[in-house]
Amino acid sequence: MVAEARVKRIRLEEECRRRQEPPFAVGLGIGKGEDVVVVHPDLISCLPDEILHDIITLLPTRDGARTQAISRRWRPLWCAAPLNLQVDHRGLCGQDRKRVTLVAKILADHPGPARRLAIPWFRLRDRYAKIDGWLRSPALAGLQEIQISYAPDGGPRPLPPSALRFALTLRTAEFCCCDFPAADEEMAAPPSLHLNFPQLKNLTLRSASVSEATLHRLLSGCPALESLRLETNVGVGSLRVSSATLKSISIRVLCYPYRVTDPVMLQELVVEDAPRLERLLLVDPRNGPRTIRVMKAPALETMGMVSDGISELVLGTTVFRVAGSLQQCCNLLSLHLYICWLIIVPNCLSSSFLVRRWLP
Amino acid sequence: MASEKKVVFLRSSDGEAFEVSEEVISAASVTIKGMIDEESPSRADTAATTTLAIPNVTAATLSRVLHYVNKHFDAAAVVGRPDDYIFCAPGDEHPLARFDDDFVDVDNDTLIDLVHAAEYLHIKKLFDLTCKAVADKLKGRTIDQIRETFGIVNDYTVEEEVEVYRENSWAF
Repeated sequence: MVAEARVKRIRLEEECRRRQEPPFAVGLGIGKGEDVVVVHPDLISCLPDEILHDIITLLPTRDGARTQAISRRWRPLWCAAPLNLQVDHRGLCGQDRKRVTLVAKILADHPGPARRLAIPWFRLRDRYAKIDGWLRSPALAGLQEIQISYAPDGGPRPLPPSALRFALTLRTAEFCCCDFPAADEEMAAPPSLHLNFPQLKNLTLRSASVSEATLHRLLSGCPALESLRLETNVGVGSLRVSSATLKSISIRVLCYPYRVTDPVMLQELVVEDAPRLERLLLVDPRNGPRTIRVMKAPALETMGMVSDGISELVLGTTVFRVAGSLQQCCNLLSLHLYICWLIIVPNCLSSSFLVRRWLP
Repeated sequence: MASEKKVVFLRSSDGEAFEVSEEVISAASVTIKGMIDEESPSRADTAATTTLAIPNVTAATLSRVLHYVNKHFDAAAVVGRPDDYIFCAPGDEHPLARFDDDFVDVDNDTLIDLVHAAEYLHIKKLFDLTCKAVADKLKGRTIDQIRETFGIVNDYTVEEEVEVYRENSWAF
């Protein structure tokens, strides 16, 4: 890394010397008659291509493509920058049908690789083959961020297994309102579709249906995961977490009628061993997994909100059984009903462990 | 080892020297860490502090960069995090978010200089921050507004310009 940095440094020093006279701003300053127009040097166009690529890839799709019209210098940049494809009104256009046509055009025009694909609130209807085709496009190679969510329309909402083909390069993944491919489907898929995400740091599953086996396999295939958000999913009754890298877990249990009768909801959360876990966030004050066991989380600093739905809270070797309401829970824990409570905790946790609840 | 902290001096392209903790700047800048490592065999036996030449970065930019580095990479300053950080949910505002916003709230030339400096010094967090700030200045603007903001000359011929617009008509 250092040797690489040295080579880069020398190259940049040369570039800097070349930059002393910016080629793009000369000429214009020659005033008309006696008025000498002070020219603002065009510093941005003097940035090296790689930096301009890094900037353009941050722009919404439409804004990024538009930069081709700025000047000749800018024309080839968008196609060479990693694609940021945002399939919504901001990234493409407001019309649903037109957007779908545009995605195909962009995936054909842009040679890839891609940095980010966001398909929020997608109306699936009969377009499964379409979204599957997009996901298979070579232009999306190297994808680092993926976000897919379907607009709820009551019908089936399968997430194409092709969404998992980016596993090796993904850093952030968010799948919402979809049915996660079941474990047996993955088994039949080629190895590249298997649930192995070596670089994934942030994972969110929201209002998704996913089996317990698949979720556990998914988590065990994420050796770099730092943030895990599981909200209003169905299919997982008991979740066991063991991770050397996780810093934050955020849980929300389904609390409204679901399209399937008798959905399997999260009943039990077990943090087996999470040496770097700092935050265990239960983001719904009315619902929570009924049982929470924290077996080993020495870095845990924050846990909350403590919900009325919790009936058993286990921290290390200490068990708190909650018979009635949270008020009784507080009495049991000898907590002061205040904005936050500081409790002395079992040896599995750090000494300044906070349980917090936002009061109504 | 509670001995006094090692410092290095960084000399800007216009000759001004800045003092910074070796530990802090090494954590922040891959480039300077490399320079320090290259120097270290020769300075082991001397008590003299190292001065490193930073030929690409002016004093004005370097002092801004060091302000950022001291804020973000000085472990002593990070200890004792404010309560609002402890309680923030994932995705919530980072405690230094406001500092970062103010830091990049500068004129275009200063910002581009900071991008160059962050790239040269290989400070990834600062590079990402400044690139995002430049992108924010391009976002949602018309082509004419962008040209005006950054002083870019339109060197397309009329035919070329028509072609670019036609190829990407969906984006305009």
